[in-house]
Amino acid sequence: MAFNLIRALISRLMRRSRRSGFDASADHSSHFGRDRIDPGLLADDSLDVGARKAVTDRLALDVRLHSNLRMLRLAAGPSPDIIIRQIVTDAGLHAVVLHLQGIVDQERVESIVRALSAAGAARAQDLMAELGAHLLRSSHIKTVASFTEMWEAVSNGLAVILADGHNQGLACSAQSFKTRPIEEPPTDTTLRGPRQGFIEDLTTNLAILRQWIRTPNLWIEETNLGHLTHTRLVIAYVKGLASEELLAEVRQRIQRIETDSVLGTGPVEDFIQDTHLSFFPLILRTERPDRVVGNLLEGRVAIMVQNSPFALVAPMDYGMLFQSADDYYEPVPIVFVISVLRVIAFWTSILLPGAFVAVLTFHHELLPTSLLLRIVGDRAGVPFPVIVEVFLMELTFELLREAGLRLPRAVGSAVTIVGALVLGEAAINAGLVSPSVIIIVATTAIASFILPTFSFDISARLLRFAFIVAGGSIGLFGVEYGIILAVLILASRRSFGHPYLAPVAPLITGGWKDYIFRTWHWAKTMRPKMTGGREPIRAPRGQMPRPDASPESEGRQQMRPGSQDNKTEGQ
Amino acid sequence: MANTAEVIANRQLTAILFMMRTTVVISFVPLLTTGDAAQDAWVAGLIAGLLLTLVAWGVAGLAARYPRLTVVDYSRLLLGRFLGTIVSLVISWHFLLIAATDIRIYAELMRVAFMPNTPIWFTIVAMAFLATLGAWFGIEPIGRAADAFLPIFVAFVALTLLGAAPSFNLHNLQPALARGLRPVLSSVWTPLGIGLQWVSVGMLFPLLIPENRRVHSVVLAAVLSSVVLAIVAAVLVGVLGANLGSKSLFPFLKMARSVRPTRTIERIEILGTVAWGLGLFAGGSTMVYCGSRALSQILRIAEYRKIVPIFGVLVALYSVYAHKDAFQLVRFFRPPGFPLLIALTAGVPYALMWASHIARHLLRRLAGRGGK
Repeated sequence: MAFNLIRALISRLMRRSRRSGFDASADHSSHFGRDRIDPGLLADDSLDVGARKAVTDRLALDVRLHSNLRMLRLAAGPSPDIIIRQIVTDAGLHAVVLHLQGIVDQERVESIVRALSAAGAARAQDLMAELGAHLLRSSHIKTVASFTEMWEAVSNGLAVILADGHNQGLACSAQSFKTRPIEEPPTDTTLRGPRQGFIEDLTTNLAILRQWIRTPNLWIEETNLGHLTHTRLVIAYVKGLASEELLAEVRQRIQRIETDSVLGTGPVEDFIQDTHLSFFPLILRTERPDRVVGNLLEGRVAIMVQNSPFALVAPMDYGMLFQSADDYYEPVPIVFVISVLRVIAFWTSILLPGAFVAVLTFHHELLPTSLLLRIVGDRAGVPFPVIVEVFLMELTFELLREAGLRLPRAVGSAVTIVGALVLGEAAINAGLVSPSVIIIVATTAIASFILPTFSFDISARLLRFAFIVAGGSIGLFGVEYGIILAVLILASRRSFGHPYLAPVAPLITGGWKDYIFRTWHWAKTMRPKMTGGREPIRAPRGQMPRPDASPESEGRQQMRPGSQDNKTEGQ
Repeated sequence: MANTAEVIANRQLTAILFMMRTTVVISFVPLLTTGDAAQDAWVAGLIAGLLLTLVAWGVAGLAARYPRLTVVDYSRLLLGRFLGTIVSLVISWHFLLIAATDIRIYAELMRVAFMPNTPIWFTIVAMAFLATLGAWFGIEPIGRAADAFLPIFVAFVALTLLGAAPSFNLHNLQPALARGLRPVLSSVWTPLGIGLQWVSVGMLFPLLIPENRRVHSVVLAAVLSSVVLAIVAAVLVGVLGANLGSKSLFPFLKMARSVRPTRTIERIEILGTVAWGLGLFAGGSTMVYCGSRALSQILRIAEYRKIVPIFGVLVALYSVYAHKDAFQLVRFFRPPGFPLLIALTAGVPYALMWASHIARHLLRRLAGRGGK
């Protein structure tokens, strides 16, 4: 009987939760109504987690304090981190202060306990009103009426006051989460940019965003994901800049997520990206607030999740993979040269081993004779065909790189460097590998390290092996075939409806000023057409720095008595 | 009716047509395209280009009269259901013919130039698969890929021509028109017949944006590719000489192989070959897309992608079995057979459709006057 009831409740709950959307989950119990249900059902150990959730979602607070405490024990178990302070007020009312250990400020809790003890109201309702209006000096006080609301408050670091004789509690802010300090993100460092990265605490991350963008038009919408984890997820955007169609698409994709847990941004990305079969990232992942802010100001949307230092930025395009945070802090001519290097490095890291194998296997005539003779001479005595040689060395290098990542930081780099040197030297001495192959593999590896986006680097590494196989099987035809295939697949990809290769393909004139190669800040007068079309003008034209007059006339101006410049010393 | 949400920019269609035309034309220029013209191959190229521009205008002009319809729709409208369906089937066959022949030419080139031991069916199946995949993704990704490939295509063709420039000998082009206009005119028909590729405009026209530049983009592609044809013909004859240029199987490749630009860069034929590959992809996938959509309309199948794999297989089979070797392929293109075939199967239907359109227009006018 009880089991049937629970099943019916679960199915009803699922149907309703599918209909609920952003901000709805924060208060979903109030949507569903609270039919009275016996918390004693939770004493049945045969209930699975879904059934327990269905029951707890229906539990309303009782007027009797001991019933509420029993409900808490049955729902949350004998957890030692749940602290219950029982108090008798000066007026003789029985009450408790509930909180979780380790996530609250103890002084704040003590002040709540003192205020509660000193309260003079004789009725529980009056006590709550008195506390809320006068005694509790807190910026965040809210009433809780169900177990779900009470538990959500407690797990968010609030202290909850329950009093005997009233079926509502009072949640009062007392949070003191322990977070790591804000540091420079290890995956995206800069020389001149801010040493600031997101951390695992979402509230702190949002505060960082607010420090960068002070306009009230920075809107943040919140929802909870995961039936079990109740993970906080926010989408951030600049209202009036991000297109409403894009926002609707983002909201819709997030609302479609139905899962028990969301552990970081990775699962969210899996759920919301345009296709699940993509070698290239379709959503930008970054730990840098300045990158997120830059993208928000171009009309994009950021998605952030509690317990993850990474933010997701959508829509993304291919050019964003080549951009580094440092690009915006260094002089443009230098950045241009570095960006050209990056593009060359990317294609080198993908194509060089494959092309090398293709030319040495099928197209000797394409090499200058002297170079060909040198390479062939070096390869004399190597027992493997060139494709096997290159494949083995690339594989060895990948193994070393993975090992370097997993090893403790102090020894990782030493092991990989020594391993690479010793292995390479030993392989050449043993006549298993030719020096030219070592040069190719080393060049490829160095080229792949230039790429600023780590997820992009992984794609390049995997593609490289495909090109080696193609080049070794059907020569340069295979390499060209692979290029066409890769471009076709990339051209067919979209990120939240935006063509991935735009503004190159489709060609969008006016979208090139900050695409791969950045331009001067004063020249960025327009936002990118694809994302910033809603408010295309970014800054007025004509801000190129230039002296208004010649030095001579400027000097005369300064000499004129009473001129503004004359009054400022040392300028 | 064009039942699709896909759109491509006029610029993308220009890029597709330009690469498609240039790829096939330069692969055999001037052997079969303008071979009889000898040192006047470039004049033949220009005349063929002029005529192709008229053809392009004719095809696009008719499509512009029915901007929301594909050639399958308006052929039925203008010629009646039965005759219109036959014309649509013939046009679908054209798509198959062009895709299969283009792929075969490329496969022969790869066999002759780079991979003599690789079976030709392998190259054909690989390229047919690529074209099919492109068509499966849709015309939008094909258009975007064309956007991305066009600069590389142009750069590689231009670099090949520039690399050959030091070996250019103006005497090879002289004396101009020494044998009169007759051999020049006789060399015009094959390149004009290869302009059959422009029937794809009939399928793609309703997808083009913005609408006011559609005809312009189609004609522009014809003009640009014709200029390239004339330049390539002139450079080829200038480098190889009229005799060798007219008799080599793949003259452009021969020219690229015959030059050595610098001591370190000894070979440049890879540039032209890569450009051909890019152009073949653009053309092949567009043809498979157009053919699949035409057949799906004729067979009343709502989703053209159901036809794409079948069409891809047909293209591969036709490409493997229609011609025994490269020499038979060359014979296939020789006048008068090929130009006549195209005139009958594409020229006549288009002439009939134009005639029907004009007749309907006149009748409507007369009816309008009678009504007043």
